[in-house]
Amino acid sequence: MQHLPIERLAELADGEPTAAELDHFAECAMCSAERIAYHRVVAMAADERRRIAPPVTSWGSLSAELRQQGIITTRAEASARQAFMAKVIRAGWQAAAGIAILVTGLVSGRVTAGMPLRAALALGDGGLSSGQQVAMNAEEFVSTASAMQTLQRAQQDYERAALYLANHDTSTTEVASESYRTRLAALDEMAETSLRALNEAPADPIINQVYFTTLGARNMTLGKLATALPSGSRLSRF
Amino acid sequence: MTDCTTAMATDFLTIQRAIEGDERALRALWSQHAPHIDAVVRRLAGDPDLAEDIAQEVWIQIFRALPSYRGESQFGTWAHRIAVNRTLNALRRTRRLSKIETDIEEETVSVEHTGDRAMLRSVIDAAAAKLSPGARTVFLMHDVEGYTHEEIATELGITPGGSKSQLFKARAKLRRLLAHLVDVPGDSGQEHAAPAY
Repeated sequence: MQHLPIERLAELADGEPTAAELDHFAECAMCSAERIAYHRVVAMAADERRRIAPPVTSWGSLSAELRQQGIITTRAEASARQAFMAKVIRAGWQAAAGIAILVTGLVSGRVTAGMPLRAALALGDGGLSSGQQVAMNAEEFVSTASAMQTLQRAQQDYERAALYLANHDTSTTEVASESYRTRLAALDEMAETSLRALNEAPADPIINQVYFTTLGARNMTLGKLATALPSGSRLSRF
Repeated sequence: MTDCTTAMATDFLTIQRAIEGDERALRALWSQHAPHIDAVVRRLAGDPDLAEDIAQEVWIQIFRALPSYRGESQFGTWAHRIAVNRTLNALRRTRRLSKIETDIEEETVSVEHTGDRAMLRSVIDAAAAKLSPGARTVFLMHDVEGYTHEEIATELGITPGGSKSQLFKARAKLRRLLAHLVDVPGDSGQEHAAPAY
């Protein structure tokens, strides 16, 4: 009887035999025993992976090297680094919130002016592109402090521009009350959406900003709507 | 939350602190994973003194790479990959420098059965030390560490077919070396005695 080659038996330790090989194993006790022996070798190897032994490294020498390479830092260095990171993250959140508010304002303004929501969103995207352009030129800042100063300046500019636009609202026409109703409907939808998001992430600073800004804009629009109504009319729906 | 998820969450918090350079967090990661990571290094290195040097290098590399850990796999699995990769690199360096010496030792090495070092070695570990470096590395990576032939081929710069060939030769030799442990009673194994690779 022709026995299976040794290398094939070694392969079958974790491989599938062919039908002909299975027939052979059924008839050949020698090859069958060999197959079991190879199974045992592979099983011993698998057990080896689970075997653990005392580490060959010691924390004493490893920590000395880690300290020398600056991977282990002292408590003071660590807290200074944490404070710096917190400052950077806070600046990032503020920038993101600013962009979110700007886009919200742009979209709601366009919708109010009678533009379809899809088109307004497309313009909002355009606004974002310029925001991305700003982000891409982020290398021009020499420090976190200068970036934060620019950010604060941008926030103040945004507030001043929003106030100016509110006082010189070009949508005040004969159909102004309809425009305000459209704006209110859009703001209500945004408030509902951001409230749902807020329920899921109550501590999220951006969602908080968007929600409260939307509520502020809604109240302001309600006030405008009341003044735009014909004399003698009372606001009973919007 | 499953045990696995809890473990990953705990690891994640420890890793965050370790990235900040917190010694207690770094030590916690080392304490938890060193028995496995150092075992991988010791197996692949073969020599305990060499393993000690490489293991220290491996841990420094693991801690240096911490900020790149994305949590896509368990920390232990991620660290295991680094350990294998760095150990193989270190072995390549060492063997290039002392290739002749290694070749001579391969011919004369014997399985230690006594002494403190032997106490730390399993039977299969000791038997694997008698294989050629290539066959030994492929056997340890495939049958012990669970790498596929494709992964081994990539790590070692060989073909998957070459990896398979080395593995089967290694198994055949180990089967002969471990005959007293793996033979089925009544089977002399004579007719299938593996050739001396």
